[in-house]
Amino acid sequence: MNYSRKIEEGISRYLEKVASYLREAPSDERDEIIRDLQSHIYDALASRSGAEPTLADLEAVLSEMDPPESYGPPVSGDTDAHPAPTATGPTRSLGSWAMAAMIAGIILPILLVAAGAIFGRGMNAVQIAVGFAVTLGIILELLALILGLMSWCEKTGKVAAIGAGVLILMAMLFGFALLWWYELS
Amino acid sequence: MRQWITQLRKGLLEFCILNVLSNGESYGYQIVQRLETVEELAITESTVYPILARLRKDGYLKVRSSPSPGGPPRRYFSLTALGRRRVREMNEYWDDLNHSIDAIRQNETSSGDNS
Repeated sequence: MNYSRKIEEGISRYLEKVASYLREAPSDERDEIIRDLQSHIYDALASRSGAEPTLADLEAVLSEMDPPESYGPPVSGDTDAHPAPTATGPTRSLGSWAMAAMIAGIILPILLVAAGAIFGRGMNAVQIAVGFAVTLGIILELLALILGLMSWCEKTGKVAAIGAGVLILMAMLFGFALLWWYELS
Repeated sequence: MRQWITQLRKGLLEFCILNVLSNGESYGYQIVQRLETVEELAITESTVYPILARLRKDGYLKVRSSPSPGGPPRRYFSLTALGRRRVREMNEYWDDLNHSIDAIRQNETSSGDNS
C-alpha cells in the first residue's frame, strides 16, 4: 500500500486534534485510542480505495468519521493544539505518590542511619537513628501500600503496593528473626 | 434524541462490544463495522475506542499487535478469562431481565384487553 506524504500528514493532523480533545483522559488510554484510530483510518482507506488512496479518499474517510470534538472538551479551547505530553488525572497522581512513598521508605531510613553513624557520638546515637529509621520506613511503606491499593488499576500503583507489601513482610521477618536470635543468645 | 434512549444506549455499548468479542478476536475497524450494523444503537468509533481502552485497562480484554497489509500494526482485541465471565454474567442478566419485562408487558396487554 502506498501512502503519499500529504495523506500521512492529513492523518496526523486529525489524530493530533483528537488527542487535544482527550487531554483529560489517562495517558495510557489516550495513547491506545489514538493507535486504534490510526489503524481505523488506514483500514477505512484500504477498504475504500485499494492500493493507491488519494487525498480525496482520505477526506471522504475522515468526513464519515466522528469529528475530533466528539472525544471530549479541549482544555485550551484550541482545536489545532498538539497532543498533551502527559495526563494528570487523579488516579495517576495517586499511583505516582504511592511509588514515591515506597522509594522514600527505602532511601530515607538508609540516609538516617548513615547520618547517625557519621554525625552521632557513640553506639547510642546509631541505635537511636536505627530506631527512627525503622519507624519512618514502616510508616512510609504502609502509606505506599495504602496509596498503591487505592490506585491498583494503575501500573505504578500496583508496583508500589506489591513493593511496599514485600518490604513490610521482609521487615517483619527480619524483626522476628532478630528477636529469636536475642532470645537464643 | 430522547434522553432515555441515549442513557439506554450508553449502558448497552459495553455489553455489545463484549458480545462481539465473545465470537473471537477482532480489530478496531472490524468491531466498529460490526456494531454499526445495529442501527438502533447508533455506534461510532468515538464511542467504541474509549470503551475498548477502558475494558482493556480493567482487565476484561487483552490486545495483541499483528502486522497489517498497509499502515500501522493492527491491534487485535480478545476476551480475558475475566472478560468471558463478565459477558456470561451480562448475558444471563439480560435474558432474565428480558424474560421478566416480557412477562410484565404480556400481563399489561392481557389486563388491558379484559377491561
